[in-house]
Amino acid sequence: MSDDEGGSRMDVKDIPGPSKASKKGGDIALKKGRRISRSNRAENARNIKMKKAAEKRGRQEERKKLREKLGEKAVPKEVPRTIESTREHDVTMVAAEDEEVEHDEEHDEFASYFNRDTTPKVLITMSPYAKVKTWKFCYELQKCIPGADIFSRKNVALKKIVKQAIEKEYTDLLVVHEDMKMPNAMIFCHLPEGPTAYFKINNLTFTKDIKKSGESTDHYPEVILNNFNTRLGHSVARMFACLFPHNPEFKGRRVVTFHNQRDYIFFRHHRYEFKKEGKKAALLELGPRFTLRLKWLQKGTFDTTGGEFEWVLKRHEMETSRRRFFL
Amino acid sequence: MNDCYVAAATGCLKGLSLIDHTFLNLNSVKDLQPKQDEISRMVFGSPDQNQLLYSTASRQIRTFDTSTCRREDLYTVPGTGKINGLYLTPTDQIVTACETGSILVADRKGTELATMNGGPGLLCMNGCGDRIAAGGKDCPVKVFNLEKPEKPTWISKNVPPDELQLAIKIWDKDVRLMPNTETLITGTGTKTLRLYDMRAQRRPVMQLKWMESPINAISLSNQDKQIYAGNTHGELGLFDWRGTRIMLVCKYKGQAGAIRSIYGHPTLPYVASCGIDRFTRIHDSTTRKLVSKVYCKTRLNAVLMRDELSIRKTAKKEQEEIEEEWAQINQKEPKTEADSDGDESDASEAWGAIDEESESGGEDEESDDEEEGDDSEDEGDEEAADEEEESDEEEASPPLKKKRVSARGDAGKAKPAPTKRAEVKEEVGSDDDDDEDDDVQVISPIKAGGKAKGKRRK
Repeated sequence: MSDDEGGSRMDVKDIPGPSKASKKGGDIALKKGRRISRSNRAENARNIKMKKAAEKRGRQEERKKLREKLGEKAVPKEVPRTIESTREHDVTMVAAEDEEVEHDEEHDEFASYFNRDTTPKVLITMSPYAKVKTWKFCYELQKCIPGADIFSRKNVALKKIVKQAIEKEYTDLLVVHEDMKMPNAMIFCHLPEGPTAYFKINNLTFTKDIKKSGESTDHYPEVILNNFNTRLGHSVARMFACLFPHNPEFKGRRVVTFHNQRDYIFFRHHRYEFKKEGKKAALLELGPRFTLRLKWLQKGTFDTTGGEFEWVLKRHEMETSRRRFFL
Repeated sequence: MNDCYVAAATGCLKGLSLIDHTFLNLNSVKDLQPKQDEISRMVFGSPDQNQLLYSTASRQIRTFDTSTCRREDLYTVPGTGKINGLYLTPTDQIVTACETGSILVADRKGTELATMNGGPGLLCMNGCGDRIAAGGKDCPVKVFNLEKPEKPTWISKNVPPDELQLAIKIWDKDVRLMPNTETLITGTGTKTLRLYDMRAQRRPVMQLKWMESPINAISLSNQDKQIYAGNTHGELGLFDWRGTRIMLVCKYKGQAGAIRSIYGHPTLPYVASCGIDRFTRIHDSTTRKLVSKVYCKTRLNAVLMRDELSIRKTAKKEQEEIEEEWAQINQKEPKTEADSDGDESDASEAWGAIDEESESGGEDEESDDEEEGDDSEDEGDEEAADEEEESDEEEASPPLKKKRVSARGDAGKAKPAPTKRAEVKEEVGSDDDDDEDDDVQVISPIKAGGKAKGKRRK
């Protein structure tokens, strides 16, 4: 739009005369010599960026004023064409009031939690001979999930662990898998007879590595489950909900978010504070930050050799389209 | 209407329509208690395939009549354990097998006729004619003759231990007796398909290890010496043993979860499979293509297909109707010969060309014609009239239109056709004046439609 955008470069070419570089800062550098020092370049870049942002803001303000002026006759806001908005139609999307799905969910494995018959009791363990980072991750999960217990694996077979956990009345089992000294996968088994899910962990950052993070508290958190639209997504969302106690303590202002986007589940843990009379919420990040990707969901407790799989990600068959998602 | 019936793990019976890819709940969902009503096995209860006979988790045997939509509870199988096998003999006796190994032969009222012991851990039971075969976990396959139920006529033997001298588990998840032969096939939890010959030996004659998960379900196919098998990972394959060993012919892709039940149609090349990923899929067994996929909202336990499928019906019906048309055209042609100015040779060629055009564009025209009201039909007529004018074949317009109407399969609209024939003849006659405007009419059908409306009002 304006000619200033390519400003500094054009000026350099236009300058005739000796090519003595000016090492002093300031916008006078544009006139002196052909070469511009590094600091000047950075400053020019910053100026251009600010100018662009200001122009963009100006355009947005104009559009906003126009829309307000026209009121009802205004042209509706354009919807950006994103991969989510052009998602392939999925038959399994759960409609708002689907009698059959509701009936199915009333009688599935999580019904006892949602009917408040059982309270969650979580057991966290890891692969045998786990390294520091995996233990650290397990401790962070323990801080996040109230009432979780960590046990080291000591080479016990998973099926035996499942058996022992059921005897001790645990409701969920989380096993953190390790590869190359980093946690890379998670087996999530809902206990009495419940489904087992296998997630891959990507992009794990610990609380210490997050800038401006805070200390967690013991209050029961609120749980937010975003964007789990399909039937499979519903099952997975209910699995996550079963980890946390029923009654969130709003006094603690703690919230755990599982946000699903394009089949990646983002886990975030925040403390919030309402500002501006409840119109905005300021967030302080606590706890780990990681993404999960569902690989398979099995009906029944952990039994990969003999159990029946409810859903398996088959890459060559399912990952053929960029606009097809399953959760 | 219902081509296919599936039984859900919640106890719901669903009828599927394969053309529409939709399902209908045959019993009401609200009254179901999955813990008691879960349907474990289902077979056709009558030769006309209008009755479904199924067993529930509460050990009840029930029938459901699809024509009257009424459910009838027959009897409760005494004892304990899940019912893992259900078979209806040709003499209308019901054979049920449960987990504890007791196999009960009863009539429809539940009076016990015979009992057999299949061994504890029984997972599957199926029959053919007057024989049944049963097998399970640590329960070798046994074949009983229903006329002499005291002792099994044949018991299988486990394969020898493997290279490490470890015993291979007996774990037969599904068994089928091949009709009119002494062979039976089992799909095992140790990922093998086994073929037994009862005349030859007690150990399997042929074996095939397939993929890395237990084989959950098998089914006979319309071809001899072929079966379908599906495993817990959602892989469905067709196997053949016409030679010396069992070979995989092809796989049918699509299932995302464990396959609980497969039904290969006895005469047509279709295979239906259902599983716990809540979908029922029907594949064409020769082309391996997915013919129909229906989302059924609940985990599915059993699937059955009727002998007459609607997908085959429409194709057949269209063929018959086309043949009728031809017969009528051949009758009419001598009458209209005197009126026509065009050549007969051109007529037959043009008719062939139009036939191809209409067939290829038939879907578009049909979709146009599905709009209610005369307007769309006028447009359609005009389009047809245009096509014929191009080739100077005006007499062909009435039959062409009638063909399109009947191809829609709508009997109601067949009646207006004869009257319209007369009208179109009039229109066609007047179109002679507009021969110069041929190109214009073809390019802008809306304009042509308008013209037709104008003519009608006259």
